[in-house]
Amino acid sequence: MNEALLEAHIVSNLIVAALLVGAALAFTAARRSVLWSRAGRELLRRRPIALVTILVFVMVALLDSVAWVGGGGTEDAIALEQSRPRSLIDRMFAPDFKEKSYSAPLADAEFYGGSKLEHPGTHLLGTDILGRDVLHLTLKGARVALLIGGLTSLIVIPLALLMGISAGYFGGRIDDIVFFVVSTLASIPSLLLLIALIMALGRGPVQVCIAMGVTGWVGFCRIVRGETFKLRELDYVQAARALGVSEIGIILRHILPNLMHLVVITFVLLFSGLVLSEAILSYLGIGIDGSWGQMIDQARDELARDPIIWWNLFAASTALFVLILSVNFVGDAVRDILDPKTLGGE
Amino acid sequence: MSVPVLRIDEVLTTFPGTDGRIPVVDRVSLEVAEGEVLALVGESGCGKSMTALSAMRLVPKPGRVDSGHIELCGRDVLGLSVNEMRAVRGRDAAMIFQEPMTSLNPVQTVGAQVVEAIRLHERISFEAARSRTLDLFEQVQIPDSEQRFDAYPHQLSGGLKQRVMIAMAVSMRPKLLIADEPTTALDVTIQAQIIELLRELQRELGTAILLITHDLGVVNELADRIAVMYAGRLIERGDRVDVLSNGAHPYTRGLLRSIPAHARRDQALSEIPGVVPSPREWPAGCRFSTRCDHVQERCHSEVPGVTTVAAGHTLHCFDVADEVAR
Repeated sequence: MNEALLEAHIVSNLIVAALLVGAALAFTAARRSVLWSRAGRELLRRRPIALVTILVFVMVALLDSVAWVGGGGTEDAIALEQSRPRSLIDRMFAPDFKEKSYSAPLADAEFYGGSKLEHPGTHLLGTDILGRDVLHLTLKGARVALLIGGLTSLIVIPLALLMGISAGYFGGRIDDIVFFVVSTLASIPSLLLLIALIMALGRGPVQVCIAMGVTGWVGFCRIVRGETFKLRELDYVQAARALGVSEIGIILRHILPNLMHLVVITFVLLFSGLVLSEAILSYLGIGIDGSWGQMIDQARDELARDPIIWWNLFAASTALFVLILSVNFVGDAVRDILDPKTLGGE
Repeated sequence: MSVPVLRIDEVLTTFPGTDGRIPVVDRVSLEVAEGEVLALVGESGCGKSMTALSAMRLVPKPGRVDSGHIELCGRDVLGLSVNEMRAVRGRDAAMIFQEPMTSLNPVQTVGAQVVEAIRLHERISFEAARSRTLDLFEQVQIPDSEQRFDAYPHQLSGGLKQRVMIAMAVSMRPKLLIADEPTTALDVTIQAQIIELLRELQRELGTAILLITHDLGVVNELADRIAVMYAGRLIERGDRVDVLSNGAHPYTRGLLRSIPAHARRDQALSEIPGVVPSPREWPAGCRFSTRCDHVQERCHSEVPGVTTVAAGHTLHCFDVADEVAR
């Protein structure tokens, strides 16, 4: 168990490094292209707040993904805490930054019983039933949310593009096969399929993402197929063929780039949809540990108490809401900007 | 005459219909000699474009060339492998399409698209291809070629786009250029410029052109020889002057009569009654028999053979054959 934990945090560190390198490369590549650098500037001009918000969420998630064991502990740190990998976000909070049970935001005493807190007046968003700092938990939720949205999209989009383009472009038998798979998947209630897949694959975050990916690609695949069908007949595809471009060349240079705006729109809709549906899965008790959905799920009976315990629900749902709203804003703007027809003919 | 650049022999191109395959190009034979401009004339839906696409082996599925023989620059097109055919397209024979508005990829700069076309057939660096592209832009008279290189299609006018298409098509100095209605989508002044450009390029590069059009004005400007097509068949062919001034087939005469002319401005413009029947309604015998005003009994059942009117001027019509015999 301990060894697996070690593996996990090293893998996570490597992924962060890869993401940063990838982002840097993408940034330099985008700066060289007129189209993309102009799109980037335009996006910053139109949606600065949403963009910065997303960036903050991404930063938090990345900080929470860089973890190592030991070090940085205080004198009276708990030995167990020291032996576990802790992320940069964890290290912003003292290892013993805990109470015994609920406490309201910035309270001096426990919510029930009223005994004195260990760290009075410092829990900005209060503590949950186990006395954990809610702000800390909420920040950690960002990583889970982005993991769900990002990893699942990484499964859904390439899968849907591959299937949709081959079906739409080559037609015939391939189209029949793809469409059979699509229709079959579409005729099973997706929530039931999702639950069944999670039961079969296990309950880790990656497994949940795979399950959501397998159930989620169908709709986008249909869109891609239809669009490819249309693009295939367009004059510039015919012209490319008349110039001797190979089928693969046509797909890569003429079909795929003309599907990119769809990819962006789908990514945004998918992203918000996935983060939200994870909340539903958590509600059913099969979500990912540490997600905002789980926090909301736990808050279910807290809401029934008198006096009400609201900060847990408030923190998680606000974070969820702000992230989804920002993503939708940015996605909308990106779609407008990337559409070559609205680029403006200056 | 040397080896023809394009030789089409008895080509039959069909599409599947409800009962059997329906021909859209019905045993058409034609030749384009080196450096020659052959105009393929006819109304819409006569199979002109399909004939050209057959020559490039680009007939869209589920259509296919069923029989016949096609030779492009001395190579048997129908016998080539997919990869060999791909090498022929663009290098030996290139195509220009009707709609410059949609013939360029909207998300790539026009320069990048011409560079792509060049690098497809030649292993040269981007920089070398770029300078070649700028030369080509110069040659097709695109002003400010440096700036245009980085322009997206929507930033260019229709005429400029067609020039880019032409630049792309002639980038490999093909022996044959198939121009499918190259001026139809452009307005009149631009049409004249594009025709002028095609003529210059044809002279400079010695490229043969297969010009597909229904605009006899364009034909008069450019063509050396004319082939008239009706409902999937070639019905008359000959030198430009022969066909335009002595066109004898009733269909050709109908086409010529329907050109607005200054001399006949007091008379109503004549037209050929009816429309081209769709391929599944093509009549047996002479295809034009349903709309012809010289129709005879046998036109409905027999296909007229070749009649030679003058040297190199042939047609398929019983009525004209009778006249010549007399």
